[in-house]
Amino acid sequence: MITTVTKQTKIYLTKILQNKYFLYTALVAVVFAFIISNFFFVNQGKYSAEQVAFVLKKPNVDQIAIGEKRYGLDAQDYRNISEGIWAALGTIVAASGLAITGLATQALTKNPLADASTLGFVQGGIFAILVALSFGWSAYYLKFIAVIVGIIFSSLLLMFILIVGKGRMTTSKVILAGLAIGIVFKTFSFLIRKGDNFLSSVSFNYTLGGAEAVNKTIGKNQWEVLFISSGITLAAIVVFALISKPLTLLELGDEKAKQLGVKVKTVKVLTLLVIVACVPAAVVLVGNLAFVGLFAAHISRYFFKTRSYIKLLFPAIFVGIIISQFGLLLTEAFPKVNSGIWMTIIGAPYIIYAGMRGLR
Amino acid sequence: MKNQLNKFYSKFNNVLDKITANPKLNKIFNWTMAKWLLIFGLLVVGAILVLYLYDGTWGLGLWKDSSNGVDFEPGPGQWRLKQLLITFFAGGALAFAGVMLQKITRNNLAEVSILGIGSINILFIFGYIYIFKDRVFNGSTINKLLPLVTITASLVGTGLVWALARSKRANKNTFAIIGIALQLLFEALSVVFINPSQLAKNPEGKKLWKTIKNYTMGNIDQVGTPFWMIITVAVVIAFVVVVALFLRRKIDIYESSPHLATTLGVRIERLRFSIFFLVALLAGVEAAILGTIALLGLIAPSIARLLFGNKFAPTAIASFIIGGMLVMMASVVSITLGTEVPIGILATAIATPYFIFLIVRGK
Repeated sequence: MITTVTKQTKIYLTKILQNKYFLYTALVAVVFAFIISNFFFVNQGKYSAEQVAFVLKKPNVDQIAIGEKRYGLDAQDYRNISEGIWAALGTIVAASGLAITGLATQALTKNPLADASTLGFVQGGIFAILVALSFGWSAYYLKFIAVIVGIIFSSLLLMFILIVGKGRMTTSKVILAGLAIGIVFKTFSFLIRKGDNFLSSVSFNYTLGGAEAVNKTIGKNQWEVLFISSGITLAAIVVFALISKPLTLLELGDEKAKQLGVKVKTVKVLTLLVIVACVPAAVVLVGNLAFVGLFAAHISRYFFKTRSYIKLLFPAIFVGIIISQFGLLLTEAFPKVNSGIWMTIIGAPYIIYAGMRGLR
Repeated sequence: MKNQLNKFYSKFNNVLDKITANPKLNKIFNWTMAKWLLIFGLLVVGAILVLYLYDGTWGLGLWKDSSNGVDFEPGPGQWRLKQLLITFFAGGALAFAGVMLQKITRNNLAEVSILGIGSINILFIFGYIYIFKDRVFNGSTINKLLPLVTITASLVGTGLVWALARSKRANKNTFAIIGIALQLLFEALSVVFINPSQLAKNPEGKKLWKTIKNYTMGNIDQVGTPFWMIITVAVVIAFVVVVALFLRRKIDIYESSPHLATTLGVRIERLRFSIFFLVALLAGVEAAILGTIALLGLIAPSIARLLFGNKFAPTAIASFIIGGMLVMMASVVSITLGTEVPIGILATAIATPYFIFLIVRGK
């Protein structure tokens, strides 16, 4: 009796879990739950929902005179709340960008463990930001350019390694090389920041990762940066949606895709452009938010049981947002630890697990 | 010009042929001998550099300058000897541990720092210093129990690797990927315990962070490691080396084929266990005197293997010497440049490209 009941419930559960409409609604619901909880849990829930809603309407802090209070909030409270809101929004943008990057890199390198952070792109970008800052180029738009240069540099390094080790490079070797490149950039970042207090604090904010930490470095221009990043990410999402069909065909292999009428080179270049656009937008906002793209792609693939990129696009973005928002919530609960650290603590065991399974 | 070069080259070759063909000369002077001489010569050069070159000033100053002769108070001169001993034994131990790990996991990418043993050491050192932070502020020594702590840590770390090595699915490269992931994980965990960006805000926290950094990244001039500890560590390292050399044949057979080793009567599990235990001892004891130097255990054995082939005994001894020499050179460079760059970071910056090369070339 009991066994039949459990069997029936199991069948129903699997049916429900395999229903993509249910999955979509559940994902969207969880995303909104996390975003809203992050909005209203700013500064460990010190402020009431009404106060946060009030700040949401008028994020301009400079209008308030010193000592003046509105809704029981002075200027510092305004700043705190708007920083929290910025962190939540920035994490959303960055996570969606990283999720696309995860999908794009995995499609491009045909490697299940590829991600912006496992290939060393993020570390290269952070290194470039530090270099730019050490030259005194601190304007906010220069950060984007610096990260783009850093990513191009690190990807060129990776390309060089791939070309040198042609034929002998297995999927795991590529990841290993990417991780090693990341370590190189990390070490050089250490060499640059040493002895300089400002640089070292910037470096900590970026390498430990998390929007709430990076906010302190960006400071005044936070909303402009967020605006630019979200614009770039939106454009990248559109481009990725447009090229997702030929990308799916590329999974069959370059030759077969060519026979099916895919312009392989164009698609690959566009994918690269998506990566080069998304990673700077994310890195400038959150620094090193490691492995988000990796499990966004993996988890969405696991639940939706498809390799079609157009079907994976939004699930991956949602999963990325959920995970990163979860990290942000944890950071609000334990304010000492950056959200990037939580991502690593979740992500590193996942990589170990994937490695143990034998890198399929 | 080219012709002349060619002529010179052929002449040189002729001389070399004569030397190698002559049986009498061969007995006294052969290539293996020359290689050993080269290594020892470099070691001596390194030692002389360490002893003589400090802060850019040239001159021997083993002990603190005092009329009573030998003075065991810590002074700038006395720690040159300390520096020599620490760098030699720490580098040697790491390299030796690297050789043993590479043999026992049958993977030439295995190394103490890659497999997460080093980073778990760092995690434990973090915790230990954080618990005894009052002593850091007082300025008294904090490292009496440190060796025990680090040995425990590396026992845990090697236990993890041992468990990993038993799983058959993990191949060479995934093994290293898992190791790097473990390293990232432990780094993140140590940040959870002690957040450096939070610590850097107040002066006390800064001091604490600096102490932790000195221990974990290898900044010997900042760490007042007492003499008795260095000697104890040296004795332990020597003991481990001797035990490992007694096991040399078994290790060689095991590396060529575990099945062959079983047929020849080697108890594989026991051998593995003991080697991992020895590695844990070496890594733990080393971490107590000079943090962890990433990738040293990779670079020294591969140089040694280039020179002496894959046999355990000569490779291990040569890599011990090469490792010690490399760390000595790194310390000389970091001190004479006066940049306060920790040795660990310097070595990583040099060694990672080589690591990438090894990955690319990997058989």
